Amino acid sequence: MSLARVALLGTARAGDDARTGTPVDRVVEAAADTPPERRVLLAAGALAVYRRAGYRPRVDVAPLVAPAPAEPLPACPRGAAAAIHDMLSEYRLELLPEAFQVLAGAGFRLPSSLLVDVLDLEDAEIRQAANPVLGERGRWLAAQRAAWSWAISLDRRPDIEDLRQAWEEGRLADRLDAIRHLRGIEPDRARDWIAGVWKGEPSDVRMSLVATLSDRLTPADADWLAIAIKDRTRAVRATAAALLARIAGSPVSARAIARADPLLGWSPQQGGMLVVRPPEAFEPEWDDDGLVARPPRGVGERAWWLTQAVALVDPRYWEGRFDATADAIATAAVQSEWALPVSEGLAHAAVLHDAGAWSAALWDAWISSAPERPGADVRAAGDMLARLFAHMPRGAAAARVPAVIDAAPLYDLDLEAALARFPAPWPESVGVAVLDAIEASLAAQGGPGAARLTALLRAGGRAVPVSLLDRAAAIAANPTAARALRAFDLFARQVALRVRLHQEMRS
Amino acid sequence: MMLTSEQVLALAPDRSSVAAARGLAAPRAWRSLGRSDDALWGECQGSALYQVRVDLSGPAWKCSCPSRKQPCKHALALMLLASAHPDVLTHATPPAWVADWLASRTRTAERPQKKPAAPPDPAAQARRAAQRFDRVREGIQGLDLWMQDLVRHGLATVDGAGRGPWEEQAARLVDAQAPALASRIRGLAYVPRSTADWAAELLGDLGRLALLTQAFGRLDVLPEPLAADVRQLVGWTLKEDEVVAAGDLVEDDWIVLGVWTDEDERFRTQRAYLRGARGARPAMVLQFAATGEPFADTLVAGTRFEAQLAFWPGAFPLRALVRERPSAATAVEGRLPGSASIASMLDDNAAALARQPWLGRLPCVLCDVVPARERDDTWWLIDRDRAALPLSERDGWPLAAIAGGHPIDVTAEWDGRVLRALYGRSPSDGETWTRPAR
Repeated sequence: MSLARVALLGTARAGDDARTGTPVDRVVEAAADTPPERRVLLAAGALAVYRRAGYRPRVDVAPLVAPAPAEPLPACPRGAAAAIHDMLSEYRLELLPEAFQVLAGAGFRLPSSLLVDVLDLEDAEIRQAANPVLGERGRWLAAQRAAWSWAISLDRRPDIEDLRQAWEEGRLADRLDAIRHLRGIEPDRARDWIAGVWKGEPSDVRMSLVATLSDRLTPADADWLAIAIKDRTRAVRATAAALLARIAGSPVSARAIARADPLLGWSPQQGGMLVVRPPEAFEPEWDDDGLVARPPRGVGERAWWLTQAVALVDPRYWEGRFDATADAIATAAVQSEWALPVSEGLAHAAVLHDAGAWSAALWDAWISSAPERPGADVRAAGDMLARLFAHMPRGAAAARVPAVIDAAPLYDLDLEAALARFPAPWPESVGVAVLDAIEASLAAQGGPGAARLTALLRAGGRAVPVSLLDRAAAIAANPTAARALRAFDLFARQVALRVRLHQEMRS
Repeated sequence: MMLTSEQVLALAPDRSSVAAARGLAAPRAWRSLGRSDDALWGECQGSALYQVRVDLSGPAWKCSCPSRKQPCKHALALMLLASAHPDVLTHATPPAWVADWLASRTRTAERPQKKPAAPPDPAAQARRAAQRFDRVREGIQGLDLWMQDLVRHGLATVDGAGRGPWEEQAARLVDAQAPALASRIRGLAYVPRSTADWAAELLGDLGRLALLTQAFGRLDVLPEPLAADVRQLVGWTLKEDEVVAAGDLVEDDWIVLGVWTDEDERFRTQRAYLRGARGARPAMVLQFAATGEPFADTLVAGTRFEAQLAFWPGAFPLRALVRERPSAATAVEGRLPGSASIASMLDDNAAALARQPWLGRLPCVLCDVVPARERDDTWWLIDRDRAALPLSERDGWPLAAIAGGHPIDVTAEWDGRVLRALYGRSPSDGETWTRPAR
């Protein structure tokens, strides 16, 4: 019986045979005059040391994969690798896309010591940026582990069969990704697939599916949308109606114009005045086009119907109808008797029909000429302004950044969200405006500007362009009372890491 | 005489004092810090500004805080601070509030006393030492009987008994002033059911404890280095000046092979493995620090520095402290010194065990090994002769990344079961991986 078995059962039952069949037995014989249990213990102890000293390694392990191929690209300089390592360990992951782009642009790859940490990252934007700098070693690693397979498949464009498989068998998020991807390359086939499953999907899924037709919308979609617009769920009807309203010449579009036309009139005197005649009643058939009779709390019925009716019509229609410019009509709308509901309707219309010039015009008109308004209206106006700013063309938005920063406290605008419409790195003008505002805020030392300053710091640290990094670093180095803000520490840290990376890559 | 942080913490009346003291042992909590040859002082900002004095010749302390605990957390913190950041306390003449207290202590010491005061009476010291030895011997006798009982009734009886019996025996050993033995017993509580082979493993651990108690019984006939090991394994510790006095002082160009750093909410522990470039002696520097505070010696894998180390006495000397470090550390160019094959590393291991059979973790540097994964997701390091040792799973992918299927050099701890990697270096491109502090 083995020594372990003797000990497990106990010498009282299993006897006290302390022999191991190894040279240890000779040593234990020297302890012959000790109690038997002690002899078992001593034998076991000596055997444990004997075994540990005599450990034999395995000899039949062979690697599962061939060694990695050689690297065509050089690894980035050590200093840059150290900066990226700090970004990872301090969890400043938002700085990684820029860092990877700088490496890729200079023809470098990541050193092998950073690959595991980078492959473990999950953010889609970071993965996209990391792809060119993973090197052969990165792809060799990724091929061995399912969790890292993204690094192999990013290069591959999914083909129709991959999309079909995701569409038919995937989870909801994967199905929507697949259909959106297909809509981008083969819009008609995407619509056919949606039509094929339409009846069997729950209402929230139908809502997401019909919304995908917003991309690459053409008159060819009108026939199917005419079916979707009869859906039992109101939100689906409304989305389908909005899409049909975009298709010039469709019945919905014609009805929208006919509905809205009587509501707005134009008087050319004094530069142009808008006469607003909100609907007196809600016609039952408007429900078929997705309009809602009951207004939200705090909004009047007629204002609500006015907004909805105007929202479906391409705002450029009014330019022809009144023979006036977008700026003139927008200014007149803001000064009219029903300024907020009309403006909201025109704003929705500008976004729906992608009329970028109208977004800018409405924004300008509201910011420059809106009179005092009660609290609830300011919030609604703020929402409208945020939507307009996010939609207008990039150049127009960049030019209006100083005005957004100024208007933010009054309208309670989320500056961080507004600035998020500019992908990092920002155009220089946006960076300058933000840094100017940060400096002014720091000089004014707190007060009601703290929330605005926080938003600017949080947005700016990662996004100011490289040309402005030195100026940002000077701001970060300036000792002020604002250091009590956590956002300031974040800004300083982000700027410091970015400066370091760029310096290391330049040398 | 400066106390080490371990010695300071040993003075603490309870664990909450330890935690509180660590929190206060940073320069920012103190003002008016200073020291003289035999005193430390400072003012600590707590709920009020407390004046703290320490007389190193005792050690004795006096703090103006109202706490009844002795020593209070402020005194502990001042001593910890002095131990970790000696340069923060500048040499100066003691201010009045310190000098007055020191003077009153001298007066107390000079008054005729029935009991001898400092310096300690060698006779009393010898009596205390003998008392401790007797207590330990009794405790070990109790342990032996307890272990033999276990074997008689069977190890199956502790399966399912939980930690209770182990904690009880450990408490008895603490009372018997054998704390290191107590720790070992406490650790065994986790073996039952931990693996399929737990009975053999537990028996082996108990067996090695029996070898230790056997050795303790023969302390006077053991060679002195091995006797020193046995004493330390039972629970006697050496203060730093005693280690230096033991005389195993080695000057060399020390290469840091790898570092293991553990961090939890309360404190940090570090094991740094070194090897002399000229004398090829292995060394392990053990350090402690409060969370958020740096270690006294900064040791980074892949660097080297000239210094004199003092080794704890033993049959296989490994633990050492850094005495003087004349130069700053520089990076090691090229490869670390290591074993050319797994077979030679295992031979070295066996030789070490032959000298001191209770060795736990041993450091090693394996040259030219390839990290490889098997179908069952276990990881291995394979050497040029195609021998393979198990590698801790956590280290697999990071080492595979720098190796790319090609041979690399790896520093690791080997415990007889699995390798835990501390540092890896690829000779082809110089890329390295260092175990992060966890």
